[in-house]
Amino acid sequence: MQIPEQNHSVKIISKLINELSKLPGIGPKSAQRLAYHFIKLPKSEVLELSSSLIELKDKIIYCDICQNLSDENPCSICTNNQRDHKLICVIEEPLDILAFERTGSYNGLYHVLHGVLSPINGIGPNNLKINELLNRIKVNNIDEIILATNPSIEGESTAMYIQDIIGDLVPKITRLARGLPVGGDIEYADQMTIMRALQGRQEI
Amino acid sequence: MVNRERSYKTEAIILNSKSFGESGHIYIVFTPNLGKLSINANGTKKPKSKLSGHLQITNRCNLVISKGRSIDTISSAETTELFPNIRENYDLINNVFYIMELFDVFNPINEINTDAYKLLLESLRWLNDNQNINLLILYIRMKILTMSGWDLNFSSCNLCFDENKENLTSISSNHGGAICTVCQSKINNSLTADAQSIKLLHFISIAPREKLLSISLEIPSIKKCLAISEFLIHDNLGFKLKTKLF
Repeated sequence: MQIPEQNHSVKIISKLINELSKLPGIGPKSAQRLAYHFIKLPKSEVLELSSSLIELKDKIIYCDICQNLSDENPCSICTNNQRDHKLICVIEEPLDILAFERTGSYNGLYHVLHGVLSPINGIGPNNLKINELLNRIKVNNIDEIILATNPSIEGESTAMYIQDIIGDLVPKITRLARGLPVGGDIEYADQMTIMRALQGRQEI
Repeated sequence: MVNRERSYKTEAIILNSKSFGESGHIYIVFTPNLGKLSINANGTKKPKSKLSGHLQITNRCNLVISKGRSIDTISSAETTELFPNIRENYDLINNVFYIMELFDVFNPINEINTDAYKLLLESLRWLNDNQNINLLILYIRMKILTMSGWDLNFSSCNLCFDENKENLTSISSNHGGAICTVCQSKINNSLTADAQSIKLLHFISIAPREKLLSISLEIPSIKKCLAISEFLIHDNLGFKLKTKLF
């Protein structure tokens, strides 16, 4: 059976579906649904979305100090004088900053590594922003570094690696506490979590 | 009769994981009875996940897996053996990543290899004891090559069958192991090795762990053998392992 030739408008839709399906978590069916949703949207909303995407690519840069994503350099966190500039929290990804900021209980600065050491996936120290952290520590007078990488084996090895290279440059290096989550159930906790929770127990 | 069970249970060691979807992971696990599997677990990025703590790389655990149309999903996990010392030492972590990659690349999905599973478990226990790690790496390389069908012969020349061990001066995986001085010039892609190292490689490839640990081996000899075994692994795979780049 011969497949009928697609008309011009369908080609445009196919192109959009193809582009949308490149996005993480979007399969061909979802891409199709989104493409047809865009057709139904008012032109103003589509233009707003497209201009936001272009603006995102044009204006979003990495802060030279903390390596976080920002629209200004240095970013608003690094230039905020109300914050403690002698305290740096080292995190894996820019999204982790949002998690810390939501708590409202951290007033220091951040340093984003943009990943963790994972030799099995081909990610080594040179692929992360570790040299930038080292230079930052050498230039500034830092009192404490908080290593806030995830408590996974990759996160632990990254924390150990950083601790090894900055150990002599900073008076205090701390690691986030590990143990049971709030609202968690001890019955389901694994041995390592319970071991860590016991090691980090506090007097009440 | 068609098997209508919707889930199955297995013991497994977690080899690797990668992020999948909004809050899940795809885990590469190695099992004694089902071989290497690629399975999904939902919600493992969330702090309250009941699975994530049990599904850490190197953990040995019991899994309940639900069958899916495209990929199976872990519905329950319980750790049965932990290797806590590995997680506390940066060098051991690097070595464990190398071991995991070695088992990952040498074992295709769904190919059952119970001996390889036993070797992995034995290796993790050895690594956790932090005892003679270079010898461990050498031991794993030689055993894994044998288990994968590359049963290399180090006792005689693989071309002219000369059994005089003092004449064995090079190694070629394409020709099945040791090569003598005379035959070395006839072949390409061989690695020069002294007779002592070839004898040691032969011993390591046949000796059980207990016997290996009971004798004292000199560090330079182990290092020479490590270089040869790395050549053999690279030659067999045809590519360099990612973990060796660091």
